[in-house]
Amino acid sequence: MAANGSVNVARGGFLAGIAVILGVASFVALVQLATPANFSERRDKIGAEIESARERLRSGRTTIHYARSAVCNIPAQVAADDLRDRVKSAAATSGLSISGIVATASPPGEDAQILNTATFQFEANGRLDQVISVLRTLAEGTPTIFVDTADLQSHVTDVNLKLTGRVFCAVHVQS
Amino acid sequence: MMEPAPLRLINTEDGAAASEPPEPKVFTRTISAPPGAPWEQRKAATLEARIGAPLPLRELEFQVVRMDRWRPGQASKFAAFYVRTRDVGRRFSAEAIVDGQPVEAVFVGRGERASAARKTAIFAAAAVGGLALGAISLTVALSARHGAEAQLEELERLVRQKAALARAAEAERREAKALDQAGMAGRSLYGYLTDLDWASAAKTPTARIDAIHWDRGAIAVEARGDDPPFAEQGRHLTRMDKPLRPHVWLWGVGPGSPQAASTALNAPTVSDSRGG
Repeated sequence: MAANGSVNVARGGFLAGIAVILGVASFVALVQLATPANFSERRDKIGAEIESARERLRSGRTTIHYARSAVCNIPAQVAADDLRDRVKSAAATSGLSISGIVATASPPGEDAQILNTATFQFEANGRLDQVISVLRTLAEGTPTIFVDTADLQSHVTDVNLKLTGRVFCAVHVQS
Repeated sequence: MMEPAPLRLINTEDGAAASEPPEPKVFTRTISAPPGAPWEQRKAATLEARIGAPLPLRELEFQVVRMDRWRPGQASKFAAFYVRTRDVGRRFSAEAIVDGQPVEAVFVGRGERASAARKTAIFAAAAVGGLALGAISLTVALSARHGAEAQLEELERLVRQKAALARAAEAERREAKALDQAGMAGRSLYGYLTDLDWASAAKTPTARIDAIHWDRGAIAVEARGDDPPFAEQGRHLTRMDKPLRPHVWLWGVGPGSPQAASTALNAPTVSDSRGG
């Protein structure tokens, strides 16, 4: 009887051991199953990208005195054509007479690492309020128009404006 | 046709000690089953054993044991063992010489069968429970994986957005720096309009202005008469030494304050304080 009992105890211990091993293996398998594919790599990549973005934003704490869309993201020649259309459209709306309008993309210089330029010039004749109205309309559009020279001549009832200026486009956008 | 043999009582008391409890009485008979499949032969023999039982079946336990090897197309011989139910006890093994060959039958008591059935039921319940637990665990694990995957994808989407925002801010900053280096500060069309507004507001009632020249932020005004055309209003006026034409002087206008340049016309500028 005693020998039989010890055999049963040994058999029970063996089965318990098998059960523990199976339980641990099942637990590990379930944990693996519950974890998304490439979890560690993706988590590390997210952490690195967050840190990179944070670093970029931290180093960018500065005051920028330009409109948010001051620089266009289209090729400079397209921007020049758009600018010519903007001037014509604004003048037509205000009834202002526009002449000698020229807008061209400047060839990128060797130092043009970031911005390309489209230059323009035009001459306007009309009442002062019409000229101011056209300039305000142009100033509200994007990209920002920068003025090189502006000569405003007063005549008896009208004014004459000769304006030269430019817009800038990001270099990475090329046709 | 079935060929039942007459019942025979096995003498189990031969050689038994007088003090030992009497062995159960076992009846045997031979049954011949017609040719057929093994299970059909056994079924026929069992039926015959049931029909030819020496006592009502509720008082009996019986076993049917094949005595020869099954061969196709040949009849088989079975030995039927009968014993009273009350004599079986927990377990009882009966041996008999039937038709000259030893045959053994094992009877298991009803209590023993119930115990075995309980064990089987417990094992089956444990197996079903284990399977259910496994299925639930699997479902929970898959659900957790799905949830974690969704959270991870959402996080990746947010990180992509933040990275794009950081890249845009960096590009904007780089472009603003390039504009500064190109000398564009204060030279937007808004800046020019601000200067015109200032000239309109600061012009004296008696001033007669022929022209306003604006060159990269510098202002020069042609005005008739010796008096300054503008009340100064925060800007310094300088007259050229000689008149441009008779009674027409060129006046230089100093720069205004940066705040005036950006707020006079409510120009939309970006005060960038992004980060972190």
